[in-house]
Amino acid sequence: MDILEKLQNIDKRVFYLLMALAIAIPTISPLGLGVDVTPAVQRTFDFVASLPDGGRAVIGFDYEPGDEIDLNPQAKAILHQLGAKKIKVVAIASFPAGAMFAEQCLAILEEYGYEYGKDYVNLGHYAGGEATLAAFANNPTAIFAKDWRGNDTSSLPIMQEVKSMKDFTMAMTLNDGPTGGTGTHEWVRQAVMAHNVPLIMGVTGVLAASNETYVQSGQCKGILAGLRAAAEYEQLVNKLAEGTVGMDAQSMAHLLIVIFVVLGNAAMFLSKRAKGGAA
Amino acid sequence: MFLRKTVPTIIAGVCGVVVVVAYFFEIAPIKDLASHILKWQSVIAVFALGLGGVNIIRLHTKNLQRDPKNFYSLALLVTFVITIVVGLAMGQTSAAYTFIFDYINVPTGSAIFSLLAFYIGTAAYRAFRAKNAEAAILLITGCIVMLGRVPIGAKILPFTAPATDWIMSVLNVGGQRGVMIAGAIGFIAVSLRIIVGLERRAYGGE
Repeated sequence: MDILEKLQNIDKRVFYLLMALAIAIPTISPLGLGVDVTPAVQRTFDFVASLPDGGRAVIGFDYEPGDEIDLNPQAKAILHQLGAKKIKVVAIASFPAGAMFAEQCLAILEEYGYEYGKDYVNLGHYAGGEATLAAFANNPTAIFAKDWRGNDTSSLPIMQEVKSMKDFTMAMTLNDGPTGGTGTHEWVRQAVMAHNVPLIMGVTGVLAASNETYVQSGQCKGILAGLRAAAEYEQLVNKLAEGTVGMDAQSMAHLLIVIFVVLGNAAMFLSKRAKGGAA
Repeated sequence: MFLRKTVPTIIAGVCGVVVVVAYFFEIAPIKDLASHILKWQSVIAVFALGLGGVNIIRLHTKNLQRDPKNFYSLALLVTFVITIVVGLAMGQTSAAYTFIFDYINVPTGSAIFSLLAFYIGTAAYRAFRAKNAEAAILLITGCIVMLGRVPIGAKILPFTAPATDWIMSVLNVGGQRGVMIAGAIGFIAVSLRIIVGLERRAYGGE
Protein backbone atom coordinates (compact mmCIF):
# COMPACT_ATOMS: atom_id res chain seq x y z
CA MET A 1 0.00 0.00 0.00
CA ASP A 2 1.55 3.32 -1.06
CA ILE A 3 1.55 6.44 1.07
CA LEU A 4 -1.45 7.97 -0.73
CA GLU A 5 -3.61 4.95 -0.02
CA LYS A 6 -2.42 4.88 3.58
CA LEU A 7 -3.43 8.53 4.01
CA GLN A 8 -6.93 7.67 2.77
CA ASN A 9 -7.26 4.80 5.22
CA ILE A 10 -5.50 5.85 8.40
CA ASP A 11 -6.17 3.39 11.21
CA LYS A 12 -8.89 4.79 13.44
CA ARG A 13 -6.84 3.91 16.52
CA VAL A 14 -4.24 6.46 15.37
CA PHE A 15 -7.02 9.05 15.08
CA TYR A 16 -8.38 8.13 18.52
CA LEU A 17 -4.94 8.52 20.08
CA LEU A 18 -4.34 11.89 18.43
CA MET A 19 -7.84 13.06 19.39
CA ALA A 20 -7.25 12.05 23.02
CA LEU A 21 -3.99 14.01 23.05
CA ALA A 22 -5.58 17.00 21.27
CA ILE A 23 -8.20 17.19 24.03
CA ALA A 24 -6.06 16.22 27.03
CA ILE A 25 -3.03 18.45 26.48
CA PRO A 26 -4.88 21.80 26.21
CA THR A 27 -7.14 20.80 29.11
CA ILE A 28 -4.17 20.08 31.37
CA SER A 29 -2.11 22.97 30.08
CA PRO A 30 -4.38 25.64 28.50
CA LEU A 31 -3.01 27.32 25.39
CA GLY A 32 -4.71 30.64 26.09
CA LEU A 33 -5.96 31.08 22.53
CA GLY A 34 -8.61 33.55 23.66
CA VAL A 35 -11.99 34.07 22.07
CA ASP A 36 -13.44 37.01 20.18
CA VAL A 37 -16.99 37.89 21.19
CA THR A 38 -19.38 37.18 18.33
CA PRO A 39 -22.37 39.42 17.55
CA ALA A 40 -24.86 36.72 18.66
CA VAL A 41 -23.38 36.52 22.16
CA GLN A 42 -22.93 40.28 22.42
CA ARG A 43 -26.61 40.72 21.46
CA THR A 44 -27.65 38.30 24.23
CA PHE A 45 -25.45 40.05 26.78
CA ASP A 46 -26.80 43.46 25.74
CA PHE A 47 -30.37 42.22 26.01
CA VAL A 48 -29.86 40.99 29.59
CA ALA A 49 -27.99 44.20 30.42
CA SER A 50 -30.99 46.21 29.18
CA LEU A 51 -33.39 44.53 31.64
CA PRO A 52 -34.37 46.57 34.70
CA ASP A 53 -32.41 45.73 37.83
CA GLY A 54 -34.36 43.68 40.35
CA GLY A 55 -36.56 41.98 37.76
CA ARG A 56 -37.47 38.29 37.69
CA ALA A 57 -36.17 35.55 35.39
CA VAL A 58 -37.39 32.00 34.89
CA ILE A 59 -34.69 29.61 33.71
CA GLY A 60 -35.39 26.13 32.37
CA PHE A 61 -32.57 23.67 33.00
CA ASP A 62 -33.68 21.38 30.20
CA TYR A 63 -30.67 19.12 29.82
CA GLU A 64 -29.17 15.85 30.97
CA PRO A 65 -25.68 14.60 31.82
CA GLY A 66 -23.49 14.73 28.73
CA ASP A 67 -24.65 18.18 27.69
CA GLU A 68 -23.67 19.93 30.91
CA ILE A 69 -20.24 20.46 29.34
CA ASP A 70 -21.80 23.08 27.06
CA LEU A 71 -24.68 24.26 29.19
CA ASN A 72 -23.39 24.48 32.77
CA PRO A 73 -20.75 27.08 31.80
CA GLN A 74 -23.42 29.05 29.92
CA ALA A 75 -25.73 28.92 32.94
CA LYS A 76 -22.99 30.02 35.33
CA ALA A 77 -21.86 32.88 33.11
CA ILE A 78 -25.36 34.27 32.68
CA LEU A 79 -26.12 33.83 36.40
CA HIS A 80 -23.14 36.09 37.13
CA GLN A 81 -24.78 38.80 35.03
CA LEU A 82 -28.21 38.23 36.59
CA GLY A 83 -26.64 38.27 40.04
CA ALA A 84 -24.89 41.57 39.39
CA LYS A 85 -28.22 43.04 38.28
CA LYS A 86 -30.06 41.59 41.32
CA ILE A 87 -32.53 39.85 39.04
CA LYS A 88 -34.46 37.20 40.97
CA VAL A 89 -34.26 33.70 39.52
CA VAL A 90 -36.80 30.89 39.42
CA ALA A 91 -35.34 27.63 38.09
CA ILE A 92 -37.38 24.75 36.68
CA ALA A 93 -36.25 21.58 34.93
CA SER A 94 -37.90 19.25 32.44
CA PHE A 95 -35.32 16.54 33.25
CA PRO A 96 -34.65 15.22 36.77
CA ALA A 97 -30.94 15.84 36.23
CA GLY A 98 -31.69 19.44 35.24
CA ALA A 99 -32.82 20.17 38.79
CA MET A 100 -29.49 18.87 40.11
CA PHE A 101 -27.57 21.04 37.63
CA ALA A 102 -29.72 24.00 38.62
CA GLU A 103 -28.80 23.45 42.26
CA GLN A 104 -25.09 23.49 41.36
CA CYS A 105 -25.28 26.58 39.13
CA LEU A 106 -27.59 28.65 41.33
CA ALA A 107 -25.03 28.52 44.13
CA ILE A 108 -23.23 31.29 42.20
CA LEU A 109 -26.00 33.70 43.18
CA GLU A 110 -24.96 33.50 46.83
CA GLU A 111 -21.77 35.37 45.85
CA TYR A 112 -24.09 38.28 45.10
CA GLY A 113 -25.87 38.15 48.46
CA TYR A 114 -28.90 36.21 47.20
CA GLU A 115 -31.07 34.43 49.73
CA TYR A 116 -32.79 31.13 48.89
CA GLY A 117 -36.56 31.43 48.70
CA LYS A 118 -36.45 35.22 48.65
CA ASP A 119 -34.19 35.99 45.70
CA TYR A 120 -33.93 32.62 43.98
CA VAL A 121 -35.55 29.24 44.06
CA ASN A 122 -35.06 25.84 42.47
CA LEU A 123 -38.53 24.43 41.83
CA GLY A 124 -37.16 21.16 40.55
CA HIS A 125 -38.31 18.70 37.92
CA TYR A 126 -41.66 18.58 36.16
CA ALA A 127 -42.96 15.81 33.92
CA GLY A 128 -45.20 16.37 30.93
CA GLY A 129 -43.19 18.69 28.70
CA GLU A 130 -45.02 21.52 26.98
CA ALA A 131 -48.41 20.92 28.59
CA THR A 132 -46.90 21.23 32.07
CA LEU A 133 -44.90 24.28 31.02
CA ALA A 134 -48.19 25.80 29.83
CA ALA A 135 -49.81 24.97 33.17
CA PHE A 136 -46.80 26.48 34.99
CA ALA A 137 -47.15 29.60 32.86
CA ASN A 138 -50.77 29.98 34.01
CA ASN A 139 -50.15 29.27 37.68
CA PRO A 140 -46.62 28.32 38.82
CA THR A 141 -47.45 27.23 42.36
CA ALA A 142 -50.24 24.93 41.15
CA ILE A 143 -47.65 22.80 39.35
CA PHE A 144 -44.88 23.08 41.92
CA ALA A 145 -46.50 22.72 45.32
CA LYS A 146 -43.04 22.08 46.78
CA ASP A 147 -39.61 23.20 45.59
CA TRP A 148 -36.59 20.93 45.01
CA ARG A 149 -35.59 21.26 48.67
CA GLY A 150 -39.05 20.27 49.90
CA ASN A 151 -40.31 23.72 50.96
CA ASP A 152 -43.93 24.73 50.33
CA THR A 153 -43.66 27.10 47.38
CA SER A 154 -46.63 29.17 48.55
CA SER A 155 -44.61 30.07 51.65
CA LEU A 156 -41.60 31.36 49.67
CA PRO A 157 -41.51 35.15 49.22
CA ILE A 158 -40.25 34.89 45.63
CA MET A 159 -43.18 32.67 44.62
CA GLN A 160 -45.70 35.03 46.21
CA GLU A 161 -44.58 37.61 43.64
CA VAL A 162 -45.10 35.25 40.70
CA LYS A 163 -48.68 34.54 39.72
CA SER A 164 -48.10 33.67 36.07
CA MET A 165 -45.46 33.70 33.33
CA LYS A 166 -46.31 37.37 32.71
CA ASP A 167 -44.64 38.26 36.03
CA PHE A 168 -41.21 37.35 34.63
CA THR A 169 -39.15 40.00 32.89
CA MET A 170 -37.18 37.33 31.08
CA ALA A 171 -37.32 33.62 30.30
CA MET A 172 -34.39 31.43 29.42
CA THR A 173 -34.07 27.82 28.45
CA LEU A 174 -30.80 25.94 28.65
CA ASN A 175 -31.67 23.21 26.25
CA ASP A 176 -30.25 20.03 24.76
CA GLY A 177 -33.22 19.22 22.54
CA PRO A 178 -36.84 18.17 22.79
CA THR A 179 -36.28 14.43 23.35
CA GLY A 180 -37.69 13.62 26.77
CA GLY A 181 -37.86 17.20 27.97
CA THR A 182 -39.21 20.59 26.96
CA GLY A 183 -37.60 21.84 23.75
CA THR A 184 -36.86 25.36 22.61
CA HIS A 185 -39.90 25.40 20.30
CA GLU A 186 -42.16 24.75 23.28
CA TRP A 187 -40.58 27.64 25.19
CA VAL A 188 -41.19 29.95 22.23
CA ARG A 189 -44.85 28.93 22.14
CA GLN A 190 -45.51 29.12 25.89
CA ALA A 191 -43.30 32.02 27.03
CA VAL A 192 -43.12 34.27 23.97
CA MET A 193 -46.26 33.60 21.95
CA ALA A 194 -48.70 32.96 24.82
CA HIS A 195 -47.38 35.42 27.42
CA ASN A 196 -45.14 37.84 25.51
CA VAL A 197 -42.18 37.26 27.82
CA PRO A 198 -38.80 37.84 26.12
CA LEU A 199 -36.86 34.62 25.73
CA ILE A 200 -33.18 33.82 25.39
CA MET A 201 -31.77 30.39 24.68
CA GLY A 202 -28.63 28.55 25.67
CA VAL A 203 -28.27 25.49 23.50
CA THR A 204 -25.71 22.86 22.61
CA GLY A 205 -23.63 23.55 19.51
CA VAL A 206 -25.63 21.19 17.30
CA LEU A 207 -28.93 22.90 18.15
CA ALA A 208 -27.75 26.33 17.00
CA ALA A 209 -28.75 25.62 13.41
CA SER A 210 -32.38 24.81 14.16
CA ASN A 211 -32.87 27.73 16.58
CA GLU A 212 -31.24 30.52 14.61
CA THR A 213 -34.62 31.04 12.88
CA TYR A 214 -36.17 32.25 16.13
CA VAL A 215 -33.47 34.87 16.57
CA GLN A 216 -34.03 36.27 13.09
CA SER A 217 -37.80 36.28 13.57
CA GLY A 218 -37.36 38.23 16.83
CA GLN A 219 -39.07 35.52 18.90
CA CYS A 220 -35.78 34.87 20.66
CA LYS A 221 -33.81 37.85 21.93
CA GLY A 222 -30.49 36.05 21.96
CA ILE A 223 -28.92 32.66 21.61
CA LEU A 224 -25.84 31.11 23.17
CA ALA A 225 -24.62 28.12 21.18
CA GLY A 226 -22.21 25.61 22.59
CA LEU A 227 -19.14 25.96 24.73
CA ARG A 228 -17.79 28.80 22.64
CA ALA A 229 -20.72 31.03 23.57
CA ALA A 230 -20.07 30.19 27.23
CA ALA A 231 -16.43 31.20 26.83
CA GLU A 232 -17.43 34.48 25.18
CA TYR A 233 -19.99 35.19 27.90
CA GLU A 234 -17.40 34.48 30.59
CA GLN A 235 -15.26 37.13 28.94
CA LEU A 236 -18.15 39.61 28.88
CA VAL A 237 -18.97 39.12 32.56
CA ASN A 238 -15.25 38.98 33.36
CA LYS A 239 -15.45 35.55 35.03
CA LEU A 240 -13.19 33.23 33.05
CA ALA A 241 -13.96 29.61 33.94
CA GLU A 242 -14.48 26.17 32.44
CA GLY A 243 -15.92 27.52 29.18
CA THR A 244 -12.70 29.35 28.39
CA VAL A 245 -10.54 26.37 29.36
CA GLY A 246 -12.67 24.02 27.27
CA MET A 247 -12.35 26.16 24.15
CA ASP A 248 -8.67 25.30 23.75
CA ALA A 249 -9.47 21.59 23.75
CA GLN A 250 -12.38 22.11 21.37
CA SER A 251 -10.17 24.19 19.06
CA MET A 252 -7.58 21.44 18.83
CA ALA A 253 -10.24 18.73 18.31
CA HIS A 254 -11.88 20.65 15.46
CA LEU A 255 -8.52 21.40 13.91
CA LEU A 256 -7.51 17.74 14.05
CA ILE A 257 -10.72 16.65 12.30
CA VAL A 258 -10.24 19.28 9.55
CA ILE A 259 -6.60 18.23 9.09
CA PHE A 260 -7.65 14.59 8.69
CA VAL A 261 -10.43 15.51 6.24
CA VAL A 262 -8.03 17.62 4.16
CA LEU A 263 -5.36 14.89 4.24
CA GLY A 264 -7.85 12.25 3.14
CA ASN A 265 -9.10 14.39 0.25
CA ALA A 266 -5.64 15.52 -0.87
CA ALA A 267 -4.48 11.89 -0.93
CA MET A 268 -7.60 10.90 -2.89
CA PHE A 269 -6.99 13.58 -5.56
CA LEU A 270 -3.28 12.85 -5.86
CA SER A 271 -4.00 9.14 -6.08
CA LYS A 272 -6.58 9.69 -8.85
CA ARG A 273 -4.16 11.93 -10.73
CA ALA A 274 -1.38 9.37 -10.41
CA LYS A 275 -3.67 6.61 -11.66
CA GLY A 276 -4.85 8.85 -14.56
CA GLY A 277 -1.23 9.61 -15.48
CA ALA A 278 -0.28 5.94 -15.35
CA ALA A 279 -3.23 5.05 -17.61
CA MET B 1 -65.46 -0.58 21.64
CA PHE B 2 -67.27 2.39 23.21
CA LEU B 3 -64.85 2.57 26.15
CA ARG B 4 -61.74 1.80 24.10
CA LYS B 5 -62.37 4.05 21.10
CA THR B 6 -65.31 6.42 21.49
CA VAL B 7 -64.62 7.69 25.02
CA PRO B 8 -60.90 8.45 24.36
CA THR B 9 -61.87 10.17 21.10
CA ILE B 10 -64.41 12.38 22.87
CA ILE B 11 -61.94 13.19 25.68
CA ALA B 12 -59.17 14.02 23.18
CA GLY B 13 -61.54 16.13 21.07
CA VAL B 14 -62.91 18.14 24.00
CA CYS B 15 -59.47 18.64 25.61
CA GLY B 16 -57.88 19.59 22.29
CA VAL B 17 -60.54 22.15 21.39
CA VAL B 18 -60.56 23.70 24.89
CA VAL B 19 -56.75 24.05 25.09
CA VAL B 20 -56.45 25.45 21.56
CA VAL B 21 -59.27 27.97 22.12
CA ALA B 22 -57.73 29.00 25.47
CA TYR B 23 -54.36 29.57 23.77
CA PHE B 24 -55.77 31.95 21.19
CA PHE B 25 -58.69 33.68 22.98
CA GLU B 26 -59.12 35.39 26.36
CA ILE B 27 -62.33 33.68 27.54
CA ALA B 28 -62.17 33.26 31.33
CA PRO B 29 -64.23 30.02 31.73
CA ILE B 30 -62.39 28.34 28.85
CA LYS B 31 -59.05 29.48 30.30
CA ASP B 32 -59.97 27.97 33.68
CA LEU B 33 -61.04 24.71 32.10
CA ALA B 34 -57.86 24.57 30.00
CA SER B 35 -55.79 25.23 33.11
CA HIS B 36 -57.43 22.20 34.81
CA ILE B 37 -56.86 20.03 31.74
CA LEU B 38 -53.17 20.99 31.66
CA LYS B 39 -52.83 20.14 35.35
CA TRP B 40 -54.45 16.72 34.76
CA GLN B 41 -52.04 16.20 31.91
CA SER B 42 -49.03 16.84 34.14
CA VAL B 43 -50.41 14.35 36.71
CA ILE B 44 -50.87 11.74 33.96
CA ALA B 45 -47.31 12.43 32.79
CA VAL B 46 -46.01 11.62 36.29
CA PHE B 47 -47.89 8.30 36.19
CA ALA B 48 -46.36 7.65 32.76
CA LEU B 49 -42.93 8.24 34.29
CA GLY B 50 -43.72 5.69 37.00
CA LEU B 51 -44.97 3.21 34.41
CA GLY B 52 -41.70 3.70 32.53
CA GLY B 53 -39.79 2.77 35.69
CA VAL B 54 -41.94 -0.33 36.24
CA ASN B 55 -41.46 -1.31 32.60
CA ILE B 56 -37.67 -1.02 32.90
CA ILE B 57 -37.68 -3.24 36.01
CA ARG B 58 -39.88 -5.87 34.30
CA LEU B 59 -37.81 -5.90 31.13
CA HIS B 60 -34.46 -6.28 32.85
CA THR B 61 -35.80 -8.79 35.40
CA LYS B 62 -36.92 -10.94 32.45
CA ASN B 63 -33.50 -10.49 30.85
CA LEU B 64 -31.87 -11.73 34.05
CA GLN B 65 -34.24 -14.69 34.30
CA ARG B 66 -33.33 -15.69 30.74
CA ASP B 67 -29.61 -15.17 31.25
CA PRO B 68 -28.39 -14.84 34.87
CA LYS B 69 -24.97 -13.72 33.57
CA ASN B 70 -26.46 -10.64 31.91
CA PHE B 71 -24.24 -8.15 33.68
CA TYR B 72 -25.77 -5.06 32.05
CA SER B 73 -29.32 -5.83 33.23
CA LEU B 74 -28.00 -6.66 36.69
CA ALA B 75 -26.01 -3.41 36.86
CA LEU B 76 -29.05 -1.45 35.73
CA LEU B 77 -31.34 -3.03 38.32
CA VAL B 78 -28.85 -2.63 41.16
CA THR B 79 -28.15 1.04 40.38
CA PHE B 80 -31.86 1.68 39.78
CA VAL B 81 -32.81 0.28 43.18
CA ILE B 82 -29.94 2.01 45.02
CA THR B 83 -30.78 5.39 43.48
CA ILE B 84 -34.49 5.06 44.27
CA VAL B 85 -33.88 3.89 47.84
CA VAL B 86 -31.35 6.67 48.50
CA GLY B 87 -33.65 9.27 46.90
CA LEU B 88 -36.73 8.17 48.84
CA ALA B 89 -35.05 7.46 52.17
CA MET B 90 -32.54 10.30 52.34
CA GLY B 91 -34.02 12.88 49.98
CA GLN B 92 -32.93 14.27 46.65
CA THR B 93 -30.83 16.99 48.24
CA SER B 94 -28.98 14.60 50.55
CA ALA B 95 -25.21 14.15 50.32
CA ALA B 96 -25.61 10.49 49.26
CA TYR B 97 -27.99 11.31 46.40
CA THR B 98 -25.80 14.22 45.28
CA PHE B 99 -22.78 11.90 45.39
CA ILE B 100 -24.51 9.41 43.08
CA PHE B 101 -25.37 12.23 40.69
CA ASP B 102 -22.01 14.03 40.78
CA TYR B 103 -19.70 11.04 40.77
CA ILE B 104 -21.62 8.34 38.88
CA ASN B 105 -24.45 9.76 36.79
CA VAL B 106 -22.72 12.85 35.38
CA PRO B 107 -19.29 11.28 34.68
CA THR B 108 -20.80 8.21 32.97
CA GLY B 109 -23.14 10.39 30.92
CA SER B 110 -20.28 12.68 29.93
CA ALA B 111 -18.00 9.74 29.14
CA ILE B 112 -20.55 8.19 26.79
CA PHE B 113 -21.25 11.55 25.16
CA SER B 114 -17.56 12.30 24.76
CA LEU B 115 -17.15 9.18 22.63
CA LEU B 116 -18.92 11.19 19.94
CA ALA B 117 -15.76 13.27 19.48
CA PHE B 118 -13.95 10.10 18.43
CA TYR B 119 -16.72 8.53 16.36
CA ILE B 120 -17.76 11.74 14.62
CA GLY B 121 -14.11 12.55 13.92
CA THR B 122 -13.39 9.26 12.18
CA ALA B 123 -16.80 9.31 10.46
CA ALA B 124 -16.05 12.80 9.09
CA TYR B 125 -12.61 11.68 7.93
CA ARG B 126 -14.07 8.71 6.03
CA ALA B 127 -17.31 10.28 4.76
CA PHE B 128 -16.15 13.80 3.82
CA ARG B 129 -14.63 12.90 0.45
CA ALA B 130 -15.12 15.26 -2.50
CA LYS B 131 -16.25 12.55 -4.90
CA ASN B 132 -18.76 14.84 -6.65
CA ALA B 133 -19.86 18.49 -6.58
CA GLU B 134 -22.50 18.01 -3.84
CA ALA B 135 -20.05 16.15 -1.59
CA ALA B 136 -17.43 18.86 -2.20
CA ILE B 137 -19.89 21.61 -1.19
CA LEU B 138 -20.84 19.68 1.97
CA LEU B 139 -17.22 19.07 2.92
CA ILE B 140 -16.08 22.65 2.32
CA THR B 141 -19.06 24.04 4.25
CA GLY B 142 -18.48 21.58 7.08
CA CYS B 143 -14.80 22.44 7.36
CA ILE B 144 -15.49 26.20 7.31
CA VAL B 145 -18.11 25.87 10.08
CA MET B 146 -15.87 23.57 12.15
CA LEU B 147 -13.03 26.08 12.00
CA GLY B 148 -15.23 29.16 12.27
CA ARG B 149 -16.78 27.87 15.50
CA VAL B 150 -13.49 27.73 17.39
CA PRO B 151 -10.92 30.46 18.17
CA ILE B 152 -8.05 28.69 16.43
CA GLY B 153 -9.98 28.72 13.15
CA ALA B 154 -10.25 32.49 13.15
CA LYS B 155 -6.53 32.74 13.94
CA ILE B 156 -5.41 30.41 11.12
CA LEU B 157 -8.02 31.40 8.52
CA PRO B 158 -9.69 34.69 9.54
CA PHE B 159 -12.41 34.42 6.87
CA THR B 160 -13.91 31.32 8.52
CA ALA B 161 -15.58 33.26 11.37
CA PRO B 162 -17.65 35.64 9.18
CA ALA B 163 -18.22 32.86 6.65
CA THR B 164 -19.62 30.65 9.42
CA ASP B 165 -21.96 33.44 10.55
CA TRP B 166 -23.17 33.83 6.97
CA ILE B 167 -23.66 30.09 6.45
CA MET B 168 -25.59 29.78 9.72
CA SER B 169 -27.74 32.88 9.38
CA VAL B 170 -28.49 32.76 5.64
CA LEU B 171 -28.11 29.29 4.12
CA ASN B 172 -29.01 27.40 7.28
CA VAL B 173 -31.97 29.57 8.29
CA GLY B 174 -33.51 29.32 4.81
CA GLY B 175 -33.40 25.53 4.93
CA GLN B 176 -34.47 25.30 8.57
CA ARG B 177 -37.50 27.55 8.01
CA GLY B 178 -38.72 25.30 5.22
CA VAL B 179 -38.34 22.21 7.39
CA MET B 180 -40.00 23.85 10.41
CA ILE B 181 -42.96 25.24 8.47
CA ALA B 182 -43.55 21.92 6.73
CA GLY B 183 -43.25 20.07 10.04
CA ALA B 184 -45.65 22.48 11.75
CA ILE B 185 -48.27 22.06 9.01
CA GLY B 186 -48.00 18.29 9.35
CA PHE B 187 -48.29 18.62 13.13
CA ILE B 188 -51.45 20.73 12.80
CA ALA B 189 -52.95 18.21 10.38
CA VAL B 190 -52.29 15.25 12.72
CA SER B 191 -53.59 17.21 15.74
CA LEU B 192 -56.80 18.07 13.89
CA ARG B 193 -57.26 14.42 12.90
CA ILE B 194 -56.88 13.37 16.56
CA ILE B 195 -59.28 16.09 17.75
CA VAL B 196 -62.02 15.11 15.28
CA GLY B 197 -61.44 11.39 15.86
CA LEU B 198 -60.02 10.45 12.47
CA GLU B 199 -56.61 9.45 13.89
CA ARG B 200 -57.11 6.42 16.13
CA ARG B 201 -53.60 5.01 16.23
CA ALA B 202 -52.92 7.15 19.31
CA TYR B 203 -55.39 4.91 21.19
CA GLY B 204 -53.77 1.70 20.07
CA GLY B 205 -56.01 1.12 17.03
CA GLU B 206 -55.20 0.86 13.31
